[in-house]
Amino acid sequence: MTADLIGYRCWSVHVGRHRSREFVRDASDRALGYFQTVWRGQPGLRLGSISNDMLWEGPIVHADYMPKEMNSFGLYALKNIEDAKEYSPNAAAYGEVALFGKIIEHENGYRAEHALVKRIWLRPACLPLTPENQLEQIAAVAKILETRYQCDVIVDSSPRGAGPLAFLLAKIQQGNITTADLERLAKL
Amino acid sequence: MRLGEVVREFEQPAPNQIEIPDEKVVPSKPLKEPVPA
Repeated sequence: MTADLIGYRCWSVHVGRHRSREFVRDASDRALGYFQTVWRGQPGLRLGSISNDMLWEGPIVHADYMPKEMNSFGLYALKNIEDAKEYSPNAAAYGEVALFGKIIEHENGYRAEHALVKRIWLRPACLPLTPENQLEQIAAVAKILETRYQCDVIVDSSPRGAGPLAFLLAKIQQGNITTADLERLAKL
Repeated sequence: MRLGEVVREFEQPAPNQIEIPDEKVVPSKPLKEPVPA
């Protein structure tokens, strides 16, 4: 039995209907050669990629095109969970994925043909919540994601999980803020 | 996402608990372009 290949990445938490890009068609249903974004189905909560508009519909996702050494396709994941957390401090979720199929290994991560979501951590302060009953909303988000992705969903209650601003405020209170922290704040 | 230099490429088998549907054989929606006679 081969051990799973594990990578780490972060996501946005997207609220809304399924979004896809489809060809614009004329009255006779002929594709016109350019795309439009369309929304279909019932509203739902989904993980979304940070650097493009891809939504993760379920626990298994597939790359649009086969990753190869000489292209940039594939599902991206980092080797180190700390790098995944740092990649986007405003990302509402980060987590663990098992990668399989064709894999391109890089120094710091992988591009994969397929990925299976294994574990998700939520950053409550980065979720799109309304002001009332936030604990109930966080629990509901965790439950919905757990059902959709069939994996454990953990609420990150660390200062970093509370969001970048709360993290910096905590460091200021402790008196150990660094110039690196301020540079990170300037990038947000 | 910056991944750095390519190290190698390889095939990784699927985790044991899942089966991968062959999406190349079964299209997720019917073809819309009419097929010429």
